[in-house]
Amino acid sequence: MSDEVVRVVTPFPLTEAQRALIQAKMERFLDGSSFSLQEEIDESLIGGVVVFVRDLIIDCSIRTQLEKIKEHVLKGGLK
Amino acid sequence: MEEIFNPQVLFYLFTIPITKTIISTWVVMAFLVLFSFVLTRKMTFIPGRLQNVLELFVEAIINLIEGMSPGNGRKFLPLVGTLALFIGTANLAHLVPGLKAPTSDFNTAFALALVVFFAVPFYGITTQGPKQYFKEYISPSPILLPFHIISEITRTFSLALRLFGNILGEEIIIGILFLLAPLFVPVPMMLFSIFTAIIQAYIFTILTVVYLSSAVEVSKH
Amino acid sequence: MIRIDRSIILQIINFVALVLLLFRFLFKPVVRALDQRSQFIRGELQKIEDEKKNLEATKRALEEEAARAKEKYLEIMDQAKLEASRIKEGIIREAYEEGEKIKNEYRRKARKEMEELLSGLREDIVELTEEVVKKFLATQITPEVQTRLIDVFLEEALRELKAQVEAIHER
Repeated sequence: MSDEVVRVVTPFPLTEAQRALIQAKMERFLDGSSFSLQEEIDESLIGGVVVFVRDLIIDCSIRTQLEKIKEHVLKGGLK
Repeated sequence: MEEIFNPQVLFYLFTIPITKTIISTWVVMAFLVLFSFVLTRKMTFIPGRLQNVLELFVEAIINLIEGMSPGNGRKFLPLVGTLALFIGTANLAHLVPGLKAPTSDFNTAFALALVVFFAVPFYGITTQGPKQYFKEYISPSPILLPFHIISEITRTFSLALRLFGNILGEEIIIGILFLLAPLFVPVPMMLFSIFTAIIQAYIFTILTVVYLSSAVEVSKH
Repeated sequence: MIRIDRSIILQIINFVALVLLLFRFLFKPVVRALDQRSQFIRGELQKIEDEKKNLEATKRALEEEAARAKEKYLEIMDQAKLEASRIKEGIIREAYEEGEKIKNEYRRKARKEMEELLSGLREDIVELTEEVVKKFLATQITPEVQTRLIDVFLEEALRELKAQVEAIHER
């Protein structure tokens, strides 16, 4: 029985290989405790993945990276 | 002729013979005193013509004395001024009918000279003191004392005779001219006698001033 | 011929009397009148002299007064000139400062507007660029790329998290 739910948000539906990759990494991260993946689609992410685990958000999306770059550009300016 | 030199005695007053000369003298004196009295009685600050003449005369006498003996103008004025006025007037008295020039009488001329003779030591002594005054007689040497005295006496006689001679001569000439040609001929001579009268009065006066000034002059030696 | 008689004594007395009489009635009053007149003239001359001195003193005083007045006038003029120049300078300086202030204000405003304009422009450019990049990236994300992204990025993020958690535990 799985106690925890790990939400995985991607722009496209996960392939089998991708799902296995995430499964393996999370297992390692959570030290073998049981969990279930809950997959969601969000196209605005463009690429990458966002993982919601326990009270953590692990954001590895292209959208977020772009936001960061934009922020950086607007604050510091293009000198 | 005797009448000319020694006028006739009219009467005697206390053994003094009263001659025409004396009468003329009194007339001249009265004239002078009255003239002075009338003029000086109402002297005005701004002088009239006669007062001006009087002041000019007095000033002339003062200036004459000051010229020879500075500082003694006021002191000698009464004597010198009276001499000038009296001799001048007396010399002209013979022009007035009935009067005789008192100075043509030797008694008058000699009296005036005697007054000067005594006035000289009087002023000399009162000014310098007797010692200083009589020192003049023995300076520069006592040998000169008689000469000083003789000089004083002779100058007195010469003063008297000069005046007397000139005026008497004038009178005689006019008298003779009257005898020779009366009326108009003596007139020029009478006019000339006015000139002589003033000249003689001037000479007598100025010589008196000279004698007086030498008497009061403090000797330098 | 020439006879000297006693009348000579009378003539001497007569003459001395005449001297005294004329002294009393002629010389004394005339000399007094002369003295009075010369004294009066001297007094008048003295008065004139005094008057002249007075006038001169007054003239001198007036001249001094005039000189003083002139000096005062010049002083006042100088002071006024100084004051005027000071006021002029003040006005000029004030005007200059005012101008400078206005100039700075406008410069500041212009700069601000320019900055606003520039930042707006920048934002627009960035937005535009973002859109373009997004569109471009969207075309580039293939499943292989996606797999690789997950592999690399997630691995990295998880490792970092782990390190942080361990650091907190150790402390």
